[in-house]
Parts: sequence; structure tokens; C-alpha cells
Amino acid sequence: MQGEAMGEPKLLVFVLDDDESLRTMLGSYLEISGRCTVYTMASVRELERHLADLPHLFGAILDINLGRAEPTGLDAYRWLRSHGFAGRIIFLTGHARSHPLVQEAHFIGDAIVLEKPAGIIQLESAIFEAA
Amino acid sequence: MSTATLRPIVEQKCALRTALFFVVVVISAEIIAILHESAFRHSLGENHLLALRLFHIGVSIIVLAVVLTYGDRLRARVIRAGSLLLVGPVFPLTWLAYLTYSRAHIRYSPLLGYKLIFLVLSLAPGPLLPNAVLVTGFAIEAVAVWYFGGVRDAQIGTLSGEPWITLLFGCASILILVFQNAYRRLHRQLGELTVRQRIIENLSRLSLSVRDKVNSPLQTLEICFARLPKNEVTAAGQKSLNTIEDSIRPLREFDCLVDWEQKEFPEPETLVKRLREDLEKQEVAFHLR
Repeated sequence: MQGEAMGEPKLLVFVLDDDESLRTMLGSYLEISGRCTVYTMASVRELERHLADLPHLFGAILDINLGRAEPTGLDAYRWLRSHGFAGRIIFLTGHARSHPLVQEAHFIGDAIVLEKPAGIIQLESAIFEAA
Repeated sequence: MSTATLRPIVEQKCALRTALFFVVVVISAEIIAILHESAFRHSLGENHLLALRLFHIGVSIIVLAVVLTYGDRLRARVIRAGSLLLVGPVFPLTWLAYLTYSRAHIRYSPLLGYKLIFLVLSLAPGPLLPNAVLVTGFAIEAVAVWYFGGVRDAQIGTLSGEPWITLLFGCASILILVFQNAYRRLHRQLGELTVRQRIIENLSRLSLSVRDKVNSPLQTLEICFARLPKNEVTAAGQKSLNTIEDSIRPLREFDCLVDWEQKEFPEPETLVKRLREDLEKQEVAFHLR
């Protein structure tokens, strides 16, 4: 986990990506913007362990491919929804739109799919649009 | 390996099959003929049929031995020439057989041998021209043996429709050869296209997979440049980043070409291995029937 909520209440956003550099960079960028506190995780298992620590989660940015033989971002989406998370979910994927899992993500009605590399303005507006 | 280099291997295998087909047919036909003629030995009188048939079987065995021993090393044309060598002795043999039968005044099916030859030649796998020339040659010989070999005189009183029926068989076998050849060419082209399609699909899958791998670092750099203060250095970096993004963006066009087969995300290393295996594959079974 990267951040802790301090002082005035900020939006809680968590980033799930197997790429450590991207996780760190995205987390620190969003925190510097001053509008949110970011938690970063690398796998669905980690998310399952720490969801209780994120009681007022606002949004989740999920990578679809989380590594070979690992549960995917779609599994994380289903897990979050089944545990009562009603916040904003953004899939951030670098994979082809023709891939079955990316197609499945596009068919989900209550999630946004962004393709890597997404522009920072596009990313911010996807996260904070409803805030 | 390109499909062009596979063609000689396929042609060689095709020629080997033709040679084996001819050897089996010739040996079987000659044995049947010898057995049948032995029953009419006294009626047929003095003739060279048995010697010629044994000679033909001998040649067939030699061709078979050569094909089985050196077949893999011989070129398709040489093997095909060997097969045609087997057909050569059939010209004097059939002529002599009908001449002998007619002189002996025995009852026989006129020109049946030619019809069987047409059937064999039309079914033998191989190029169109040599087989078509042979069929034409045998058709001419059938007409000649009918009018000048004494067959017509021996068949007086029999409503056989010869030699026109035999000529019709000849025409039909040439048509079969033409259709077979067209079908074989189509089949070969289809095989080559299938190989090309598989290679293209694997290449597309590989390039998309590499692009996908690059997208996360690009996203990191995108955020990194957005966070850094704007100056000449970051502007140059951002420009380079944009160039990379613009270069890989056209790969999206190939998205629709790829059938990902499974939900796993393939690793580029796995895809390279699969592509190498496809390219190195020597046997393309669908080229051969």
C-alpha cells in the first residue's frame, strides 16, 4: 500500500497493476494532485486481504492482465462488486481490444475501459468525473 | 521455411506415390494376364507374350527397387520418368496381345485392356501433360489395332460399338485428368494459403503482444512526463514518447486479424517459439492427398 488518508477527507482510490513502476508513478501522481489518497496493489490476493482497510473506497483502477496464471482485473472487478463496492471502476489495459478478456471488460456496463498509454487528462477525468 | 521451398518435397512425394502406383498396377495386371493366357496356351500357339510380360514385371521390380532405395534422394522429374518407363512396354504388349488373340480365334472382350489403361492413367497422381499424351497414344493404337490388327475381323457378328467406345473412354480419362489436375492445383494453393495465414496470424499475434508489453512502460512515461516540470529536456522526452506511441498505434489494424483462442495472455517468448516451430515445419500434410 502506498498512501494513508491524512487530514481533511480525500477520495480513496486504489490501483491494481502488476507493473511496479506504473503503480508507483500513477499512485504518486494522483496523490500530488491533492484530490485523493491512493492505495496500490499488485494482485487480486492482496486486494482480498486489504479491502477491509479501505472502508470508503471511491474508485478502483484495474489492470486486466495481472501476470501469467494470476487472477485478472475482471476477477478483481467481480470480487469488488460481490463485496458491495459500488464505486467507480476503470480498467486500464495495454492489450488488444480483440482479446476476449478486454472484450468482456468492454461489455461491462458500469466500468470504463481505457487503453494504455492513456493521456493523463483522460485518466483524471475518468477517475474524478463523478466526484 | 517458406512454402516455395516446401514444394519440391511435396512434388517428390507425389512422384514417389505415382511410381509405386504404376509398379503395383503393372505387376498385378501382368500376373492376371499370364494366369489367364496360361489357360489358352495351346490355342494361342507360339508367341512372345509370356516373355514380354515377364520382362515387364522385371522392369517394374527394378523401378520399385530404385524408388525404395534412392527415392528420397531422386528429383521428382527422375522418379516420374521412371514411372513412364513402365508404361512404354505396354504399347507393343497390347498390340501383340490383341493380334495373337485375334489370330487364335478365341473369344475376348475387345480393347478392354485399353480401357483399363485409360483408367489407370487418369487416376495416377502427377502432371497432366505426360498422362494425356500417353492416353492419346493408346487411343490411336486402339483404333489402329481395331482396323489393322485383326480385332475388327475377329469381332464380326458382335455388337461392341468399338473402337468408338474405347475412344470415348480415352476422352473421359483426359477430362478426368484435367479435373484432377485443377483440383490438385487448387488443393496445393489452399495448403500454401493455410500455411501463410498461420504464419501471418502468429506474426500479428506476436507484434500485438510486444505492443501490449510496451504499453505499460509507455503509460508510466506518460505520467512521468506529465509530472515533470515543463522545460526543453522534458519537451524532447515527451516528443520521443509521442513518436513511439505514433509508431505502435497503426498495429491496432491487426487486432481484427488475431483469434486469441484462449483467455490467457500469451507471452512474446511463447509466441516466438510457436512461430519458429511453424516456420521450421517440414511436413505439410495437407499438401498431399
